Amino acid sequence: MLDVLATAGPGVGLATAGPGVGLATAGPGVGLATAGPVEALADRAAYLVAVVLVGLGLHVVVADRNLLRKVVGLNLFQTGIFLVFVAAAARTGGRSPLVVGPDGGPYADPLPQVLVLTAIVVGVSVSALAAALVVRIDAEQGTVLADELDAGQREVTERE
Amino acid sequence: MSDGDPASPGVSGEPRERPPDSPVVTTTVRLLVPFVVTFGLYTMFHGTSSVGGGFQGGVVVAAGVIAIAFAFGLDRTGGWLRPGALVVLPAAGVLGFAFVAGGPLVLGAAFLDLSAYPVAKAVVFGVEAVELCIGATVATTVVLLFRSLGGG
Amino acid sequence: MTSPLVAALLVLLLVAAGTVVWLRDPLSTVVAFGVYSLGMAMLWAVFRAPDVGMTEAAVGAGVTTALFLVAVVRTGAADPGDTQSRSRAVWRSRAVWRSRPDWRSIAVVGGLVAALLWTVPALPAVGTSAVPPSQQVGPAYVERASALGVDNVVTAVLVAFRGFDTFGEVVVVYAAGVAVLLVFDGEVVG
Repeated sequence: MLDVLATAGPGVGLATAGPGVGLATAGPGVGLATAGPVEALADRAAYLVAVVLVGLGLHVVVADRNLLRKVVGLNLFQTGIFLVFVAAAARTGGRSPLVVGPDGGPYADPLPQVLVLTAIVVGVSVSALAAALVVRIDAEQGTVLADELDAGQREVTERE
Repeated sequence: MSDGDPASPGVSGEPRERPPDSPVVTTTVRLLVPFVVTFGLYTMFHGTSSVGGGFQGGVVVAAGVIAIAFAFGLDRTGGWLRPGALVVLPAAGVLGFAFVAGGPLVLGAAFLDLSAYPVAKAVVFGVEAVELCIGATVATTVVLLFRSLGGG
Repeated sequence: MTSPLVAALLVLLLVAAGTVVWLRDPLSTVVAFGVYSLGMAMLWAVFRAPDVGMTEAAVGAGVTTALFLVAVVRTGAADPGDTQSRSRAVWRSRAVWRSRPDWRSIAVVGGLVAALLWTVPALPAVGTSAVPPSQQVGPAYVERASALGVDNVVTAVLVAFRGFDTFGEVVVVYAAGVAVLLVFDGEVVG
């Protein structure tokens, strides 16, 4: 079964591997057939850290009462995802995607970097607008805590 | 938070007294910001031949202006910026991009087909023009966002 | 590809992100976020993405941190005697100790993280060259860009090959500026 996993494409390994098998013999990333599981995870350390960052950011967005901290958590979440893209674009022993001659050697993949560049700028627009909304909410309602805003809203609807 | 923005009125509406400017911060900013803004403009102009482009240069220039605002106070920085420019330049950047990109439509080619311009090395110059428009929009919009947030 | 430098930067990211989550005081959160953004920018520079790293350094550690700082000051800078804005008093009380963690959120997010971690081994190793994007798509774009005479492939892709995306993004930035002006009733315009 291991050689089937080693030669199959990336999506197949997950479908055919059983629940206990997934991390031990792992999916069929190229080069995985000969590497041990610890080395496989060490090769993918950037992805692991990115997933943890996504989780941390999501936790702050969901669980925190303060609206401003939710926006910071959103930024954590976004940059975690960007890390996945930039890590996917990296090439061992490659150079940055600036053409230096006909034999420039392996270049890092430019397309995910373009995606992340666009996403960063859109992200700063979103964060700025969110911060502006929080400031305005504080000016109008006197608080930036989500549960106090909910309580205030409930009072208004009960009165009506 | 000694170099924050304590002059903002906050909710109560009464401005607090500003503590005096820290000489370390103001001197450092006064020395560094010309280089930062120049570097940002250089990055903006050299998008095609080295690391850089509109977004990168634009945000570097905006970061330089924000550094000035942190060192010298938001009100004084607002006084140094022409008020209409912050609103006109983003729109001018978007329209410039639209015209450079839509020009080939007039000449019979597809949208954003920069090689349709009858200029030597049309694509390189087209990319440069577009990067300048992008840089103008991004830099002025970020400064506008900062100004609205800080002193609206 | 996980060299010691990359490993050290990843540890820095985790520590900084943990600090952002742990400290409840908004000002400390923003400062930790600035450190996190700088670490992320350095990591991207090590991953051979200079355009992206430069933008993240200027945006994350510069612009966004500055915007959050201004927002923190504007929502907490009221006079202590002002009963309208109680945010400042609440923040000061939370700065010292943590409240009980939200276990439901931790459970849900933990489940999501576990599911995502499950899929990580199926990804190719970081930096590998034996995947189709690295063998076919990437070099094709590098060649097309250098044939055009634009040496920075990222710029070439942004404007010359995928320019419509970039146009939409510039409009989004402009729309954000307009939206913020609307949020503050256009008070900034002189």
